[in-house]
Amino acid sequence: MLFLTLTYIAIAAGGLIALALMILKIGQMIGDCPQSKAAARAAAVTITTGFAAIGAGGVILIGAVLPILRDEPLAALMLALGFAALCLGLGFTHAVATLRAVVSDVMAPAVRPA
Amino acid sequence: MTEITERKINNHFSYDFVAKRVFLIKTSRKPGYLIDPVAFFIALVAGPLVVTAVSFWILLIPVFALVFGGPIYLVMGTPLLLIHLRRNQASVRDLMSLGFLAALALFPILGVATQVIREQILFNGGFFLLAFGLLFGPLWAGAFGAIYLKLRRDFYAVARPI
Repeated sequence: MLFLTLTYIAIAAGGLIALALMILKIGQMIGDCPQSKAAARAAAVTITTGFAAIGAGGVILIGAVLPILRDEPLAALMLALGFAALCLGLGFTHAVATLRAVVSDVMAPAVRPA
Repeated sequence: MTEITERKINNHFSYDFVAKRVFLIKTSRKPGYLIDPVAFFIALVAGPLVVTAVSFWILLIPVFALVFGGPIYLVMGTPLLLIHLRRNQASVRDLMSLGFLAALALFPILGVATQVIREQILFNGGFFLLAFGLLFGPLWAGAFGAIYLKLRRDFYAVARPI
């Protein structure tokens, strides 16, 4: 059980950190443009912080379901890892979409509803 | 040069035509909304809790509803709310009808489940509990919507091409 938990936490947290670093890196790439530089960098750091916090919460919550399938440890591990990867991936695409929206707002501010 | 451009446009047109007429696929999507993640998760947890806190004095029914329905709300409600908020401007009324429809959709699912499992107690008890779901589904979704709309930042209230 301990081995299972540690494996889950190592892989899921590893994925979380890798994706968070990717958001920072994408922010840096977008930040190469002088016009949107400041906005992109600041947004990347903010969005990464939010992603890491919410993602860690999700990973821990999914991990809490592991003991329910104690009789089938491998199935439990794979289900939890797969679900965590799905959620992290969805969060990542959302984060990148937000980053892109921030930058395009700087270039051409969107019309806000009254 | 013109020929190549023309052919490209024509090819694009024919793909478009096939997609639209043969597969009935919409090739242009209407703009959607980015979801404010902080507001979403706060509202997701706080919505049912607020309803329970306000109405727990009614024979403690809301408290039991939270215990029985909470997990179903989280498992079913989270993806439904995410999809709905991605495509539509949030409004309490729309979310309440979404909550009602989601609770209603559980009836046929339970019906099929009882046919598979064949436990009379599941059938009777399940439908009894789901009937309460028809009340608490819209209430929780409405509370979710009110909190989400309150906390959502302006940046996320704008429709974008996503």
